[in-house]
Amino acid sequence: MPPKDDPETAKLKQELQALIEQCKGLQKGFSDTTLEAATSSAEDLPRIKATTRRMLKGHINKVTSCHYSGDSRHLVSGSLDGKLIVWDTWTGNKIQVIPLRSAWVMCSVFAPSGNYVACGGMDNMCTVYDVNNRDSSGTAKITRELAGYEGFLSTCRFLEDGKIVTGSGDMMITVWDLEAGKKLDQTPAHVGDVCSMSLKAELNLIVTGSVDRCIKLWDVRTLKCVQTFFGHEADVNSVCFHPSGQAFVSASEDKTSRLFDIRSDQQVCIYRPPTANSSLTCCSVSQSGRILLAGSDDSTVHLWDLLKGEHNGNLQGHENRITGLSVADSGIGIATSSWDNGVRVWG
Amino acid sequence: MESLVREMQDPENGVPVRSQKLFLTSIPSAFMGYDMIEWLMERLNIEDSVEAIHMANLLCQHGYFFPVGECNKSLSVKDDSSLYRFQTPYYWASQNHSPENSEYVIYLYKRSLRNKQKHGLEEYELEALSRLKRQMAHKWEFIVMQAEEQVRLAKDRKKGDKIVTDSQERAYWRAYRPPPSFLNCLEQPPFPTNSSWTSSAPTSNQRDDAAGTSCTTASANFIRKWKNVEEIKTEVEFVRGQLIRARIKVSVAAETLQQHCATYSEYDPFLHPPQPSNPWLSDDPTYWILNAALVEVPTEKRAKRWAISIEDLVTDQTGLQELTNYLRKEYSHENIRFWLATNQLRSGPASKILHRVQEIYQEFLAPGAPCEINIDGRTMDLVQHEMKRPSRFTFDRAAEHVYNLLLKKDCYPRFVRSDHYKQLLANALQPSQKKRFFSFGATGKKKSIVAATSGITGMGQPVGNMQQLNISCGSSAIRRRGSVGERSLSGSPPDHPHQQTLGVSSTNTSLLLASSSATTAAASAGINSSPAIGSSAGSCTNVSMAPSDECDTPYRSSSTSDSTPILPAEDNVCPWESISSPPPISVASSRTKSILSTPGPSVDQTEPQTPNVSSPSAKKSSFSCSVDSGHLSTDVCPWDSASAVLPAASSGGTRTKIPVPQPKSSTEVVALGDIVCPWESQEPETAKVATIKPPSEVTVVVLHPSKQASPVISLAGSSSGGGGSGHCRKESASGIAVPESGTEQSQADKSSSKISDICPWEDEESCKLDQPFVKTYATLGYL
Repeated sequence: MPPKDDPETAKLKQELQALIEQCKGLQKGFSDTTLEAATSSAEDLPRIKATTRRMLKGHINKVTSCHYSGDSRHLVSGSLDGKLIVWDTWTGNKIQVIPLRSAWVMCSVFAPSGNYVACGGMDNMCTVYDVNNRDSSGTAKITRELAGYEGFLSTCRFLEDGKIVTGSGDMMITVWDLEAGKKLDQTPAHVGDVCSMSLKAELNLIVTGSVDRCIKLWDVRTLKCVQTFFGHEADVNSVCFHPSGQAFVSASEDKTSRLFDIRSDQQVCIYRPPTANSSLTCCSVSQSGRILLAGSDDSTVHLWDLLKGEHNGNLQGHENRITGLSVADSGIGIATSSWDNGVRVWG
Repeated sequence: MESLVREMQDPENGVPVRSQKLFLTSIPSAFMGYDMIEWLMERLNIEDSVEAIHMANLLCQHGYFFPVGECNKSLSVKDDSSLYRFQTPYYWASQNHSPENSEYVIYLYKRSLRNKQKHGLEEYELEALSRLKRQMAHKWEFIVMQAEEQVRLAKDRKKGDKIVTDSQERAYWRAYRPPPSFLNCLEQPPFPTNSSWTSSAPTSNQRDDAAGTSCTTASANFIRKWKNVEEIKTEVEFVRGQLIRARIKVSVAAETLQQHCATYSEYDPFLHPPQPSNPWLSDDPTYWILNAALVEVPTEKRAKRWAISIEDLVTDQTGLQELTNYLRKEYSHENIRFWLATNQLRSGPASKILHRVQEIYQEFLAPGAPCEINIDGRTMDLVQHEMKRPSRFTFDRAAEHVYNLLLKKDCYPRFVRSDHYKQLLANALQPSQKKRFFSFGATGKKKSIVAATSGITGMGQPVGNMQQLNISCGSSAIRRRGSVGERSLSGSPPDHPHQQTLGVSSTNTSLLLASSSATTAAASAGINSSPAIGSSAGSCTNVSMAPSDECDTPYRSSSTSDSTPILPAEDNVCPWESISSPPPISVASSRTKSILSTPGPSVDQTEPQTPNVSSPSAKKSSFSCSVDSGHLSTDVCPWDSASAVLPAASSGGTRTKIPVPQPKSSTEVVALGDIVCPWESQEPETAKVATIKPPSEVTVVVLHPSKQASPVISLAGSSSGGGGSGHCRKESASGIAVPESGTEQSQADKSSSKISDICPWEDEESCKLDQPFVKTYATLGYL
């Protein structure tokens, strides 16, 4: 039992609750229609015929994350076997295997330029490797080790080659200058672990999802929260911007995926798998913004027509929980990582 | 893991363990590396020995057995006859004893007492020793005593025992106190993980095995309550602020989303096939080449996309480059240059920031700067203010201003409406979905062979070639002829030369090379004989854009040669670049590459004006043909290239390499044979043109449209048989007569008749200066 709140705190909490309710009322005022109704004129989405095009084998333990490089061809994946592997998804070859100092890797990302990869996890550190430079033993050089977290590192994204933004279990989001190796900015972001992050570089926006069930939108330059979105009933496991930059999708432990619109400041659609008995772990949107993809605990990737909210199918193949999903910038492929030790590329 | 080790120790079915000799010392109950690997592979049905070695490494690093004798840092297992011994179960990791620092110190100190060479401490160990010595100063005496005692005891042991205990000890500490930068396998995970280390078959509900994802761990985490009143207050303020936020109606938002999806669905590979083809379906790697970040000629889809929004344009490197070219042509590229410079500044090395800030300021912002940008007073004040503390973000405000007001609202719409962009679209590749697969290498060979056979007929025809120009746009027309080559390989007889008509792209799908800037021509030569050659002819020449050339190489192999000529007009920029690729001949001649050097020594220097017939001034031309090698060298001479063509013709005669270099083409050519150079005739014109247009800009190779005039080239005389195509360009027409084609034609015809294949040639068009491209062009090419 948490200690009892003093009267002032209790009052504030009540006020907060009331304000949130008021906000919700206002939002409702603007939801004059549903997304499904508004888009009924759109052409139906044909059934997506994507299958596994490449099985990237090489990890010998659960793969926890994967991320495409900006060239839509290279992919980095991180696994609990303590390795990052950089793949060429077209040939299926491993370009590089990077042994890590800590095996507890939870996120791995590629810089859009393809020059760097970063990873982090329960070592409470974010480690950045330079893919193009190797040390004497032939592995990629560590360019930076960014320490100073009080919790595990759950997510990170490169803003550009010299800047990275991270979200961590100590509820912070932090912007780092890689060249100087120092924090540019740090702010307490949520009241629970930050789980996931997506960014829209041109717009200087990032969106973070957290265990506190809300999703927040940030301005990278000031690192101030711009908007908060409520709606999920459990941890938000993953968030991903819609390519238009005006909306984003989320996947949650509450077994739903939702679409939030930034300009109308509210949830506009909710997507449920046909049999909702496993939570969704990761999500993304296809290049055109029409298809919503969400990886699930039931070891498949669910597809929805984002506009109409209809379930479009599953990508089946993995044998265990899907942990990471990344769509190539050009849309040419989807990569998924799973606890079955495999990484697959779908197209 | 442990059960596996127990199995290994099984006297019956386990790894063979016996006494082994190590340098005359016998080590009891040891086993060898390869025995163990073999056993593991058999026991676990592992097919790959690498995997088995990894497994063994893991076991070793966890301290289940240890290498006897040498002990390397990584504790790795080797698949050879090196010896290993099982660790006593007492020391296994599963016993969960955590070693104390004092024991570690004793061990370290002991080692430091002994023979330096054999037991010398590693650097990290020395460090640890001195650190611990400080920490345990209070019982240091006791430690020293113990260590000495142990050393004394050790001395009494037999040598075999000694080695074993030493390595055992060493391996133990290696596992528990690993050197930096090595993974500590025994490190306690931050939270309970049951069994995630043993790669037990995970069941889908293994939720507790939280190592997996952030989500699970997150859910297990305690959600912190609001920490304090302050925090709640800020949150209240924030939410209050949200109350007055402007929102739009969901219907409007839905409409935007729907529009966005409709606009971009064409670019979504899941909804519409990408160009040239979906690599997953067709297995054709050209997709990756065509869609590389920087290509000479974008695919049609890509070019179309640039018209959607400025973001689509500037996030595509090729698009950005085209925009810059366009603006440069309009003499208004200072804005984009400033914007690019500030972007670079942001990611540049810190040491140069100050310097760069000054440079940028001097170039774009200072009063009277060479490329002064036009920003309003307020922004200027901000910049001035920031200049006092220069940083990589000094110009951000100004850059934003330039981007939003000037680039986005002014330059971009002009770009989209401009002829430049229209030409880009027109010239964009429209690769058909071709599934054919060809290998260049093969082609090269074939060509050469053919060529050889073709021998000498007198007439080769040469072809025309093309030249290209890049048109102003840089966009250049591109054509690649490579396709021709391919076709021939593929067996299909080729037929078409591709036609290209005006800038439109044509078909060539298959090869595109990335760069294509220019194109080519193919001239195929006339070799008569060979279709192959034709193909070779196909080679493209690429023109101009410098970068591109390199890119092409892979493909180039197919092409025989390229030549890119560059004329330098004033500063080295060439206003036009034309290229020709002539040399079928050369190809024929050699597999090797022959490089011709050219006469003109200095390339750039020549003046455009001096066009002599004989040699257009010097340009350098180098031409190389390499069949096999695949590289083409580019030539630089614009005209020369033309000449090259000639040689080709001549080559017919010789078949050997002919390098004709040509600067002086006329003479040489003559020598070779009969051919006249078309080019030369033209040259004067070109020269003029060049002179006229010399734009000021030096820098890039890229042509400015304006500048280009392309001279074009045409050339050729070849016409091939059937048609002969000729190309005339207007220019040529106007000024000079087209050279010889007539003569050659006849030959060509002959040759053509002989050959079944077609030679593609291409022609090209030339552009004229001001005119937007008039091309004339002819395609011809069928024999």
